[in-house]
Amino acid sequence: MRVSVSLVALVAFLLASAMLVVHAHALSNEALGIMSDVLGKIQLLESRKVNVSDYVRVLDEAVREYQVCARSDGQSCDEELIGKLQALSGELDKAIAGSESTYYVYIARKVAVGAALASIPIATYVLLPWLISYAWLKTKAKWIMLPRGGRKNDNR
Amino acid sequence: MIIDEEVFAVIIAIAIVTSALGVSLSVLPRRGEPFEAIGLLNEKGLIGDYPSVLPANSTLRLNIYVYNHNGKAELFMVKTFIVERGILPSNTTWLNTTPVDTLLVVLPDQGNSTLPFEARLSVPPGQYAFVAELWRLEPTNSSFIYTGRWVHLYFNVTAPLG
Repeated sequence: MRVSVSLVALVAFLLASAMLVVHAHALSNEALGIMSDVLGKIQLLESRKVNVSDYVRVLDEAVREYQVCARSDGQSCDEELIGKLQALSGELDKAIAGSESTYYVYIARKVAVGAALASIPIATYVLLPWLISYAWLKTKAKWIMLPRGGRKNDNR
Repeated sequence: MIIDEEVFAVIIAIAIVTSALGVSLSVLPRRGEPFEAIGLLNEKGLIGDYPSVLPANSTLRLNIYVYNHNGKAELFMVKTFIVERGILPSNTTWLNTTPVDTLLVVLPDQGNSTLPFEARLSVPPGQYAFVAELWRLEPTNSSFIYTGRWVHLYFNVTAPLG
């Protein structure tokens, strides 16, 4: 008796779950594949220190528009999404082709900053005594040296 | 030497410390532990004041907050479920039922988004749980991976009004 009551309750719950307003949608394998490809390219560009905010925004808009389309039972949602992703993928390919120079510039800048910062102690060790001596000489350049006791042997 | 040697040694020590600090802050990569987060917000997009009792055939309205701190742009999928009270996922296992809805969002590193969710409750009176799971697209194998992050909200469904 208890088993049958549990079974009825389970069936009732499953029926109730089915009655919920379901508008889940599933991406086609093709759309998912291109989406992964596009995201991988964005992440590659990001690792090369390229600003990807515009690409992220375009991909996000495409995904959101797809969801709106899928909820309205659109038939060509996947095709529209794939078209947008392919266009974005083409732009990303161009960006990737020119991204190596950006990465080298980034590395060169990092190395230059690191070298400049690392040279601070050496520069201090070499230049500080010289600077102090130079400043000392500059401030005392117009001083006149006199022997003790005044101008006794001054023949000018 | 014009400058005292001990004073000079102190100046050199300060220069070495400054240099080491500068190199570590500006050149070496600063990467914290990568993570992503999901949060549950009420209809107005605020924490708290969640619906607890809803009549049948009414609409459950919530907002889901997603945050990306993985150090790179990510595509997240939020799977939402309305299940019997007590049926919850864990950090390692996800719900093996059909989601009510799936929400997709692309976030840059340290980006966040609040996703509105609503579902009509055409269910018999009883105790239910709203569950939202966070999944992440893994580009290398073109599949979504469960992040182990999830949120839930218990609520009661009463007899329909009128």
